[in-house]
Amino acid sequence: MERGWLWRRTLQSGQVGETMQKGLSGQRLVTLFLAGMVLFNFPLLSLFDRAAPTLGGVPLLYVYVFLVWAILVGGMALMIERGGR
Amino acid sequence: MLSGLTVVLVCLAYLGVLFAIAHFGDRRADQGRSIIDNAYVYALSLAVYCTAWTYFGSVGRAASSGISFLPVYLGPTLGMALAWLILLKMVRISKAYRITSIADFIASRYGKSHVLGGLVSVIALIGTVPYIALQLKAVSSGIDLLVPADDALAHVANGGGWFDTTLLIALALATFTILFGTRHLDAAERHEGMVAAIAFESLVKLGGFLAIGIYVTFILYDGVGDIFRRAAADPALSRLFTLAQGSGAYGNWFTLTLLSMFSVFLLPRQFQVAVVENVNEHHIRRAIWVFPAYLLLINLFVIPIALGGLMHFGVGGVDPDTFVLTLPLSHDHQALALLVFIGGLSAATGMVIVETIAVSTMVCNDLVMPLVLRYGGQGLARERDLTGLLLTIRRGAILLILLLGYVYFRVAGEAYALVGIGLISFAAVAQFAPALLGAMYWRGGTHLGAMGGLSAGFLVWGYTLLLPSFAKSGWLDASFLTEGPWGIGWLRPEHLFGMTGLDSLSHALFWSLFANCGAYLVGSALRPPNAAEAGQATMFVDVARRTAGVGTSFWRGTGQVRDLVTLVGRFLGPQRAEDAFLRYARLRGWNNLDEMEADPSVVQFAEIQLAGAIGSASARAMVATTVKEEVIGIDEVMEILDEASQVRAYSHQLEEKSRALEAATAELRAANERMKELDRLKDDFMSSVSHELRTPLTSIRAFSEMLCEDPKIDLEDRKRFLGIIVSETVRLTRLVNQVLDMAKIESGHVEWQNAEVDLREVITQAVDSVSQMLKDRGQDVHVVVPDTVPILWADRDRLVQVVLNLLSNGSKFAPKETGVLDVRMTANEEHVRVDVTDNGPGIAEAEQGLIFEKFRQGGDIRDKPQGTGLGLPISRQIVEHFGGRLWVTSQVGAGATFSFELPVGWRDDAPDGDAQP
Amino acid sequence: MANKILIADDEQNIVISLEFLMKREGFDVTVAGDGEEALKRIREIRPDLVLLDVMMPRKSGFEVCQEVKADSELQATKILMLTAKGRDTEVAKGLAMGADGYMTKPFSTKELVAKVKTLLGLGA
Repeated sequence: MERGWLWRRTLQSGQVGETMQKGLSGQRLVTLFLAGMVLFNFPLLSLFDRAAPTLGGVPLLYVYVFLVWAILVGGMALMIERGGR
Repeated sequence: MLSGLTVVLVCLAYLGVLFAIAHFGDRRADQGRSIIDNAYVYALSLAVYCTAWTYFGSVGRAASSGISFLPVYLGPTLGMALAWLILLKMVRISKAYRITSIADFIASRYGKSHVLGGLVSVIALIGTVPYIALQLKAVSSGIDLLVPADDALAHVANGGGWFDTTLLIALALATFTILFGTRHLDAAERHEGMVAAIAFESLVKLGGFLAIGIYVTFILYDGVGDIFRRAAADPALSRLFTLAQGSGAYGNWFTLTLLSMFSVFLLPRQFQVAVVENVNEHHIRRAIWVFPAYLLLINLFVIPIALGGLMHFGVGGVDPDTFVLTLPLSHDHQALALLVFIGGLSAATGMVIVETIAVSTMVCNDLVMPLVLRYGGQGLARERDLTGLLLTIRRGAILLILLLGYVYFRVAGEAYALVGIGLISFAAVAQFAPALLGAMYWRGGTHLGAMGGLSAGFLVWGYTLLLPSFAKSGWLDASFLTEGPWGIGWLRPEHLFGMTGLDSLSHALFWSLFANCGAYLVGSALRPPNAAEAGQATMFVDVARRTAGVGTSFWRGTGQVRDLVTLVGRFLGPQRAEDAFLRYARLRGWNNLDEMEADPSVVQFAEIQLAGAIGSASARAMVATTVKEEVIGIDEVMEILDEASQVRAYSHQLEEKSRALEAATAELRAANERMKELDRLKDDFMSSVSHELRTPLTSIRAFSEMLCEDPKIDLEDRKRFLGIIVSETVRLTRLVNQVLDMAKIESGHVEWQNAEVDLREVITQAVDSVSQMLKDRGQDVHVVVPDTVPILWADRDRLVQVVLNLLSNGSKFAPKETGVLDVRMTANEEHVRVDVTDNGPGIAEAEQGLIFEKFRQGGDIRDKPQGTGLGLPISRQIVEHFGGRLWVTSQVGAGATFSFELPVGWRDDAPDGDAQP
Repeated sequence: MANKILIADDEQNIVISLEFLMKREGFDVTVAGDGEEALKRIREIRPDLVLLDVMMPRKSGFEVCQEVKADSELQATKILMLTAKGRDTEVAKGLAMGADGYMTKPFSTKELVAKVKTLLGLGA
């Protein structure tokens, strides 16, 4: 779990951004950002823009948006917290 | 219904709690034990993003257009993924140069310009005041809902003309903000107590909203699925389940995402909490996920509440913005309603407090102070301590902004210009984006470009978004929207140049950012950056290197340290200034201020201290009054930059060199090891040669001496001894030849007489030359060669030497009388192979490698073989020279097979010395 | 009674020359072709002196010398090391192993005979 995540060490040197920029974590976050931009917009969004089918009564669009949102937040949390140790 | 008194008391009690928290936070900050030095507190303070507009308005928007409100929170989620790139740099720059507002940020970057700072402040002010009004309206309508119309308080509130509860709240907030926002002038302009209170408010509003969400979803209804299933039955509601079909909805969705992505960094209050109030840049890291998680949580129940409200009250029955209060009230859950109201109060007050502090800083530093300093006159110039004046200006600005907000609220009322202000405000601050991003990542941006971009963007924003909102509020003739001003159709503000197909927000954002970016780029391209711009550009773009590495100052001049201390003291207070300078002096190695020289870095220190209090543009102007500044031309700035980059390049080179040296050292060490090994091998070789030479010499000398001294030795012995002498001489000669041969091959001095060779002839010749010897020993030799073989390119004699060697080697080990040698040659298109097999004792596996070493003679037999121990190594060298290989396969007791293989088609690449036919 | 001498060397011709030389001086000569055989012969015939080559198969002269000197019953056996490797370290090593004398090949026959006689306590 060491590669790329050198945050702890850089606490002293104050090179957080540089490390992230160069490191895997920064790239991962950018990837996440791009994925979010695509998943949350037309045309992918239009695939799910329908009331049916529902998931336990909840329309597909709502399930999709909140699910992707939760996955993105979870992904960010995982990337950051796993690297912090 | 609750009594008005209860509501007011609860509100006051809540504000009291905020006071307590803020006070505690400030006291801890003074003690150096910060309570906000925590990533979660930081992330919660970012949640000041969620205002009353979120708290009440999201439900309203969801009730009218379903999920389309959500991009306002998806945008920040995505934006935070890039916070480590953008926000971190903003924080670094702001900390390094004591930047305390977004106006100061932009002004400082583009040459410390008063005008630019003023422009940004004006935009922020115009975008902010209606937004503050919206918060006041939310609180006010909340109180109206909670308090019955016949309550005594309501009479006071609604009958007292301009004096009402909203004004009370506005004044209370102004008091709070003044108390905790302008407690003292801090060079860093940080307000720890306020941040602690804001973080607390974020928790309260989340708690309040989750409470109402859970109440509606699980108590009024039977879970999320139940609400949706019931809503599905009503076509008026089920249409909310999807985005409105057509590209417009998706376009709006995208616009909102982008806009809110900008806003989360550019709104004055966001800049305040995220950048100015940041205690430790490492908090950003955790906030990257905690803040989006907060947004997700607070939005979880928006749609269930909206649908629940719509189903309960019917479409059009009650203003959906008030569902969070009216739903519990209609079920007579007043306590819950009060709790939810407190949550809404948190959202509103949090926003108002932070926004007011942020905007008042801008108003003070970038609008008022420049004017005061310019037109203040002699009296001001003589004033030794201006901190009081500064604080007064700030406090005045805070009060003014809140009152402006209140007035706007009273004037606008229910007008669209108030209700729609959230996004209009977002679009206003989005105008900062080009200049701000350009400030951090592009050196080419100039003051002219930034001015042009901001002005153009702001004007287009005003025309396409603000004015239409006025028109929709009825303050302007509606024909302004439908016909265009003066009936000019292509000037219609929501269809500029006849553009259609975009919703009004996307339309406004497109045109304003188009004009903004265009003017910014064109303006920047008109003339090259001047000295101040180029200097600041480098300080911003390279902030990490500038602050961490080589210090660069773009200031040059002469002055007295005492004057600087006095100057800074005027704005920060004499004692604070004295302390700050003394700390700095000690850091630089001076014992007291009088010893210190006013070199550029001291002046820069003074300027940065001042910048925190009065903004960078004013700071520059004030410092210039005290120290005689030499004008630095662009050439000199470039030179300084160049020097700095040269120093950097040089240190980089040094690093490279030291790395290269390290590598070279390692190589040398390795080479040395190899040399030592070679030395050892050479020593061994010399020692072996010496041994091999001395051994025959020993016999020769001994016999010669005996023969020489003793005439009585009988004839038979004499003959025997002389025979031994002769054979040992032959042995010596052979040894000398082979040692020389070996040395020649190893050093590459052999002259290879390469020609076309038929390996069959080589074998025949070699077998012929040993046949007599074999016959003498009673050994047989069998030769098998193929009918056709490829012709090789090689030195014939050398190959004969190899085969001869293998034959005599085999003969040595094969038993006398019963010994048999098999020579077998095989060939294919790629290789020619020769195997020489004997029926001797074989060679143990461990010895098979050793026999190719020099002077290693195989066999452990009594009858020591008469070899030199060089035959096999030489043979192997020869075969390898022709691109082939020589090896042995053997088992103890089953003879040994020495084989060599030569590639067909080998050609000498370096033909010098070869006799080409 | 003549002194018994053992010649241990793997070089046939050297053995022949030494054997002839020693016999001519009147010693009772035995020969051995390698280290192990040398040790066996030493224990069998208890020679007064061993002419011991260093570079021998199976067991080197050094090893033989060491074992002889470690054997309390063989304390009387004198050892004269012969080596073709003329390095000083070899000489030092040999003497450290307890050899009584050391000669480098090729040697002068006169010197060898003189050395042998000295070691055996026979006046030159």
